Amino acid sequence: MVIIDALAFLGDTIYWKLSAEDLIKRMDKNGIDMAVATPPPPGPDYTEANKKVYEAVKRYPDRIVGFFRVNPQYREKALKEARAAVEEWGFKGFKLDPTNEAYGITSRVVEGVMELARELKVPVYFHTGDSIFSPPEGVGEVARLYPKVTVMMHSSGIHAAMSQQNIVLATGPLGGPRFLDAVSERFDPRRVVFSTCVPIGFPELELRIVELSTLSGENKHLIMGENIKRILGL
Amino acid sequence: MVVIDAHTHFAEKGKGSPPNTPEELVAAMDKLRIDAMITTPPYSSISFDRTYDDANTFIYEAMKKYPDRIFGYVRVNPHLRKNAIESAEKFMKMGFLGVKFHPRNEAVAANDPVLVFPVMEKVEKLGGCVLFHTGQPDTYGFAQPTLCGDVADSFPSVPIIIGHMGKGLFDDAILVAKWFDNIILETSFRTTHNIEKAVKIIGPERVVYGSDFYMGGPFGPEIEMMKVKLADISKREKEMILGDNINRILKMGVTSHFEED
Repeated sequence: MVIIDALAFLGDTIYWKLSAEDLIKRMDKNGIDMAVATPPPPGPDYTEANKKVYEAVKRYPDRIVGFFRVNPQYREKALKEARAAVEEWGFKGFKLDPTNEAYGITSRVVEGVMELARELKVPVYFHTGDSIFSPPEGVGEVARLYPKVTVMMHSSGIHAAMSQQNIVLATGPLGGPRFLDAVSERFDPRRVVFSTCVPIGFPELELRIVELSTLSGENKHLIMGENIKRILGL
Repeated sequence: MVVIDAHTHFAEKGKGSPPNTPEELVAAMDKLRIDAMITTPPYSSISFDRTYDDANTFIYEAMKKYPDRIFGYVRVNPHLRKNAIESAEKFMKMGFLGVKFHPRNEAVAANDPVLVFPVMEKVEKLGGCVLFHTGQPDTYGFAQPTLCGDVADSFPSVPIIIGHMGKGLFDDAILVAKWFDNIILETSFRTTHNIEKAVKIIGPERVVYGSDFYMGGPFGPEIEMMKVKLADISKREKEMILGDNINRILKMGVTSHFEED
């Protein structure tokens, strides 16, 4: 079974450090084949941090893919860089964090990024859940406005994802197997991808939770790697 | 090493998820290598039993069968006023370690001076502890950590356990624990990094392992234990959190039942 971690935070921050080599080591230790990497918070300017992810992808092209972290508060500069990131540097998606960058997810600054994602046919991963800036319902509203864009968020947004078919839920960090059990019972397993948020989350814990869940073998196969492969065209 | 799960639930068949007998509960503990659990009824008083008398008695019978493995928090319905005080007294005199309040499910603020404080006075007199369900956003107005801080301030000799470490309000829970020495933080549903932060700010002595078993499913205790074991803290600090702290604070006298790995 191919295991792909759909969200890892690669780079240095005031809070922690995770180099490409550290990430690869943790992936090897836990049997993870590939990871989607994005710069960690706090920013606000992610130009240099995105370059580090780009360099990591160049060094480990068969192990790491990049999601370009966009701070839409930089308006035209952000959009220009985001376009180049996909068209020239090989990034496979965008990562936005309205909480960290202090804008409402349904505010106008997000529109340009969503229009660009629609044009370039790349997914947008939104941080959600811990502030008024980016509640799961807000992610649901953005997904409704841009039905052709694949919108990704944490599994806590399952209710918003129920009615919006272009939302993909990333598992981690998980508190326990409950979400996966809910997927077994009532959610489309093709719209769920395994993620650890390493180094915030712990791959060994996330993998153990998947193991303890009631997911069928076929659904595990999809969630652990096949879905994100399909979504990113890997 | 002693492992004590400081926050679990247990009820008879039809009123709670399995395990539903003392034997099944002890078998589950053996499988999880847990020496003891402190348990309390799982449902809210509106469901089956307005007074919790039957539910508390069910746990008492289990405690009698396995006195070194099963311990109890009395569940009370604060709205019944006199009954809640009497129930706390009756069951604590029968060996329960303290009282569990679920402010959201009982629709009462954790620091309600009329409904909660009289029960607290009884707990204080009998030398027991109190476990509060806490969290956000589900319990806002009923059981955010600051309200538990008010209780801790008013009853400084009573150990006040903040269940789930405030969930999303974990920073508030840690600060309240920093301000009041009788606050204990219980780890269920929090992350490894939250546990590390709690240890860094208040020290390891007042952080205790809990799983909310069976609410977190059959594997909840293992997952919550793993979170403690993954923390970037010392081996000794992990042992304290997994069992020694609650054993010391509540004078439980639990000893290890399992060979060391």
